[in-house]
Amino acid sequence: MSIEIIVNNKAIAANKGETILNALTKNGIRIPTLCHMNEFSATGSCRLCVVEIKDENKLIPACSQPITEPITIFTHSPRVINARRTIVELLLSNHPDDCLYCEHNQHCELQNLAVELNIRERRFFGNKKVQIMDSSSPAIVKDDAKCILCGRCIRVCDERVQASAIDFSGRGKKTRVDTVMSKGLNYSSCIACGQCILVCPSGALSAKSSLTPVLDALNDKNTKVLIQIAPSVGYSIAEEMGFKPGKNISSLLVAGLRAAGMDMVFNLAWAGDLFLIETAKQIMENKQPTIVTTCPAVTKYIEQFFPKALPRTNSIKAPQQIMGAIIKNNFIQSQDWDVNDIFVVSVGPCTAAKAEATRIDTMSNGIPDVDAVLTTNELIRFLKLSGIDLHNIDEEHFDAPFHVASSAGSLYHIPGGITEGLYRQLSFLNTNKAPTEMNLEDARNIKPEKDISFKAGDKIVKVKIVSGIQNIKKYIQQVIDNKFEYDILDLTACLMGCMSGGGQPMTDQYEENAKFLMKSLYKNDNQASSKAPNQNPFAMDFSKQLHRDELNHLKLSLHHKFTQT
Amino acid sequence: MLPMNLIKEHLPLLLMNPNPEKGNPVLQRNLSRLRHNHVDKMIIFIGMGSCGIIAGANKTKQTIIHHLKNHNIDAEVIDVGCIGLCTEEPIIDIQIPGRTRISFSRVSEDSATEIIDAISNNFLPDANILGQYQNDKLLNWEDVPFMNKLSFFKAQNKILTNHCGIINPEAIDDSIANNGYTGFIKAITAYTSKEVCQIVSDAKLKGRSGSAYLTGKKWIAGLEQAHGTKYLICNADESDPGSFVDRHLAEGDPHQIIEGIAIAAYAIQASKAIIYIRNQYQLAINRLKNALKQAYEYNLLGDNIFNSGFNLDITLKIGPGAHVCGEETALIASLEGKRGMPETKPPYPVQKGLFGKPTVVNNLETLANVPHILRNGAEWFSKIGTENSHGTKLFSVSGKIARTGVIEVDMGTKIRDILQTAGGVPGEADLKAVHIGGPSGGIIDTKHIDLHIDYEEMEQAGLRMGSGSFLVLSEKNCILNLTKYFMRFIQQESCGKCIPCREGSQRMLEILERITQKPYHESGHESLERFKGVIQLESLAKVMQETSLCGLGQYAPNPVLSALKYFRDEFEEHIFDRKCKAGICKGLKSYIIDVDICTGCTVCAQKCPADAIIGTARSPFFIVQEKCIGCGECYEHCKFNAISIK
Amino acid sequence: MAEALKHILYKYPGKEQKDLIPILQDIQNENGYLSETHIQNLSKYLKIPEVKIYSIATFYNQFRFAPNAKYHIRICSGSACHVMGSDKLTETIKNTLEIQGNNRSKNGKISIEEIPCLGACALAPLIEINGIFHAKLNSQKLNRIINELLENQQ
Repeated sequence: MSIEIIVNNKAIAANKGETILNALTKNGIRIPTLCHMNEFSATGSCRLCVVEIKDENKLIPACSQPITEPITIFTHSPRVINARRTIVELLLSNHPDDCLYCEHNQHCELQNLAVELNIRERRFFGNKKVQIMDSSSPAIVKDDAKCILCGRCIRVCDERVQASAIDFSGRGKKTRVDTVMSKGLNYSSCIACGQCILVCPSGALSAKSSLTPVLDALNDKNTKVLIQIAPSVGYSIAEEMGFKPGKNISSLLVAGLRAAGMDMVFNLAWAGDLFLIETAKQIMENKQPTIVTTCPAVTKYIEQFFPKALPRTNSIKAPQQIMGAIIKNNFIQSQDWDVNDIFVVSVGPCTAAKAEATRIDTMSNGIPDVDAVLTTNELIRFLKLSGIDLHNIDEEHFDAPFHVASSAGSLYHIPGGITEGLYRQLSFLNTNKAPTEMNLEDARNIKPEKDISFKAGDKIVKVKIVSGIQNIKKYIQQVIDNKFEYDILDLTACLMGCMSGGGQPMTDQYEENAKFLMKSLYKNDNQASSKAPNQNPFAMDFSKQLHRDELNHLKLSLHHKFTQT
Repeated sequence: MLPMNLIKEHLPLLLMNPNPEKGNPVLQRNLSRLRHNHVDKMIIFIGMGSCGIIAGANKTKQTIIHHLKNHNIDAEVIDVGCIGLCTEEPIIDIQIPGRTRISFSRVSEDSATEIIDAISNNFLPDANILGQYQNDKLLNWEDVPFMNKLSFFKAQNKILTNHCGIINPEAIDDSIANNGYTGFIKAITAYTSKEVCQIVSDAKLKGRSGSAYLTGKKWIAGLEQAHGTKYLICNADESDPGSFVDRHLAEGDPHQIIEGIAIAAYAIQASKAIIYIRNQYQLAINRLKNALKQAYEYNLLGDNIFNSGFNLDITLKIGPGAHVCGEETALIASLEGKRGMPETKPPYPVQKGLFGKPTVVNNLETLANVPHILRNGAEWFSKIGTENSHGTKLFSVSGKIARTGVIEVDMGTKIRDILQTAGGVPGEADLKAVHIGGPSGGIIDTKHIDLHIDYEEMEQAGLRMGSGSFLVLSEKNCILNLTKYFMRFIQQESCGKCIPCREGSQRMLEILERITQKPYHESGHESLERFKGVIQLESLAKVMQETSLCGLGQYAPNPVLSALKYFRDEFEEHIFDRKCKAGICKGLKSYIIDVDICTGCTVCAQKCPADAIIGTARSPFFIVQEKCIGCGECYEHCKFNAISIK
Repeated sequence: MAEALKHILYKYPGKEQKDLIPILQDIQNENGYLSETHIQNLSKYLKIPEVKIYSIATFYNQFRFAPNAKYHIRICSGSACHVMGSDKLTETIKNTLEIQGNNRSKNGKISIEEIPCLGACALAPLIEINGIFHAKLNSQKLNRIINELLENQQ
């Protein structure tokens, strides 16, 4: 039922029962909010969205107040503006004056609000929160001093991701976003997916920075820095680097990294191809795992919450670790380099990848296969710091031997991409040629669950593609209970795939961005000349070598040793 | 001893007609006894409320029991609640056959035996006699004042507290003999739920928690919700400091509360009710648990109560301790096993409350009024009190007052009269202020003590009735210190959900602290900063009132705002003159040793709990101001008067 | 599930979140405090994440994660006691017994707790030590009590 309400002396139509905020947004009227998150129910805790309603002596929060009768609203009356300013001033009075040094400088909603509300003096001063910094996790840093207790991170972790690693502890001004028994993120059930970072409106949550060791390595004459780039990075950095959003500037990036001092630049899509080749091989031999994933957060999640599913999960590591392992255990020997002089950097959109690189089973003789992981954000920072202008540079290619990749090897950043890659590879393995239909169109949408079945030789392969930790739980349980009705469970932790990972550029449109970037990757795939791993002779060749006895220890290093916690 | 189950056997009769003229003579006699019209042997009533117990009532009781045993005295000992005169505890009453019930105050282990011996031999002891309970059927004690004529009780209208300290709160028979549960049975047998709502609505009973919302209106809204599971919650989470009226009622007459809950549940057609009570009220919890058990035994609770078809289950839930859980949505969250944080309204609990079901939350005192309204009618209730505020109000009076305790007065009583009832400020100090309503209430000065206890009148004066805490301050108290105290309480108890309350209360507290503390260096600019602080207090207060999520934040500025209104000069003294006349703000007080007088005897340094006094023996000593906590020990112990206070 | 909790948990067969607080109260009443193991076991039983149980327990005044010391002093800080000078008592206690930030004495034998309103406003200001009340205190009386306490500790 429609109700007419008057907003700032203009009549607008609203639906009975919807919130004031909803009605305003639909009609293009913007009011500041802070704790509000789309698709989550309103808590009404920040009070920033208050509006003045005629004949009400209190100010009313727009996010939680339903419209039940015709009312007159003023969204920016002096009383409302004064209230909003006071609220933000109160927040700022309990916030470190740290903007210039903060990870979130210029990407901070609190900063935006201070600007919007024209806060120009420190009216309130007094005791500030004690800084308790939790840097126990290899991937995520939590700085309580900057936390404004909006609760968004908790809601994402609890309701969406459902890893339930954090919650409020204490009460009143002693409230903190905390972990169980206050023992830190590393002790908690955190899977380092970083979704909390993406929703944090201030600088309280950020990815742990690995820039310093990378810069140190670059500055060391005796160290060779080898950098490997994940498939979607070249698309994700376009907008921040001044290009058309979603444009694939990978070849410019390669040139830029060399100019910045990197000794070699490798294409992680090559490892993506190898992953597909090995997994397809297992399927051909009927030795495939049921759960197939390249997602380090999923792997951690299964280890932590569903250890009984580990025997059915792919032990083959994710592309980042595959390549790192091959570099340190095989490639450098061919170059006659000492492993102590090599520094391998991996770049990707993922914060869980930072944690993955510190796993014990990703080390050989105490030396990690990947020395540092940079997020897309850090890469952008690095390029700017190094004065690299990608507009004034010529395109270059990745370094051999990890340069060529089929477009399938890039698809693992999209939920369902692995399935498409397997489908193509299996077609080649069975029929010696490409499938008539290269794409699995049913997999190419943003639904969190997709059912796919395709023919591979004389058998039908049924795949369940699921993204979003909150969605994968029940299927993992089915696998454990032997009630899973498909052959393969293709999993990704982040709802919109890797391009909505915790390391992506900060923006509150991160989900929209992820969808947009996915389209770009698909477009690139459609236009690619080699679309299946089988068409990557380098990766195919390597795979054949891998199965020779003398490379057995290398083959082992490409597989996880799962630990049950 | 009362024949077993006699009352239970005649329950329907009693409940329908509390004064049966004809009938069982055994029943009549026992009713008479239960109503204290008649006793067969000496009965000793011992005031066992929390205050009495802390004052030593247990020891007194043990002494009495031993004495009776050792001297083979045939007497009965009954625990009763508190009559509300806490300063006189331990209180014991004795009734011997033929004589009125006589009350003694401050009964220690020593005087107890003396009293028993005297009374059992029909003469008055030398001990503190409080008074006797008037009863035309019994012989008075000579020259003993009547209780209801004592200045403490004269001005009271003891309706809810009528039985507190009189009957045994752990015996349902006592309650029933004194008309307990008759209101409830009347409700479920003679009225529909709608009619019960109407009666309470006509009586214009207002919520006693401070919200002053019309109870009848709330019930009607509850009744109108779709039929199905509904909850009635009795809010006994009384956590305002200085407020103990709910405790008093629960310890003294728990059956009254259960009856009120039962009527309310019937009114809204709820088959489940919950009493949510503070964990610190252990005695009240035990008494209520016991009372519930007895009510079930008498089928006054449970299935098909008295064949009416009405089912009701009442459970007791113990609050894990958070002042904010006095707010209804926070209380509900606590019952659901969550953090006790309030939720936005709408939806209101009556629409979507506990576990998503329609829920009506009523304050304990409000519910205690209900049985009387049902028994005596809405018109009777409307005649008590004022136009806007019907009925009586309980106050827990404490602070600089001669008689601390619980009093019950008609709405409309003047504050002055309450002060008089409570005996005024003791000693030589003068009355300075009265603070009503706890952390969400307000303070009033001596010029305004003719204000009437009335919801509207008080709100206009910037006060808030709140839960009934009535705190008296003398000239020796500092108003700013009190506002700081309440703001600190709010700070500690704020749930932390919304920014205005969580951050705003902290800043307000700090402004108050700056005004009451000594800065390290004084410049003209500092006093301007302090004055700015006061302006900020007012503007912050406004934002907190207008934007906080719940009542805790919305009313938190009340003490400060009312203090600014009535005691602005005291603020200015602190800010500009840097003086605290009452001598409380230790930041504005310095203890200084006069080096000409000091002999270096070292006594002050030894007594100092903060190690703030330094010096060598036989040389003048020195007080380090930064370490001094202002306790005054040195001042009190100096034999040479060498220490002065500035 | 830990045997130790079985006798408490059997009272709550529904395994619902609404039982969480009563269960925590029962555990603390028996053990004196809540431990991490209790939380872990409870999490498995109620199927509520551990951090959520911790979150709920730390919100309320009643729950503690370490037992009280041998001598536990509860200082009433209700408004009547405050008006009668309980602030001074608290300071004296804190200073004389050298109470640290965690509300314990250095030797760990004494813990203090400020609680709002013990319900005995007529006897303000007062404290309670291990169940025994000491009412209408002034600094002399308090010092005597503190000295006694210190002697008992030896």
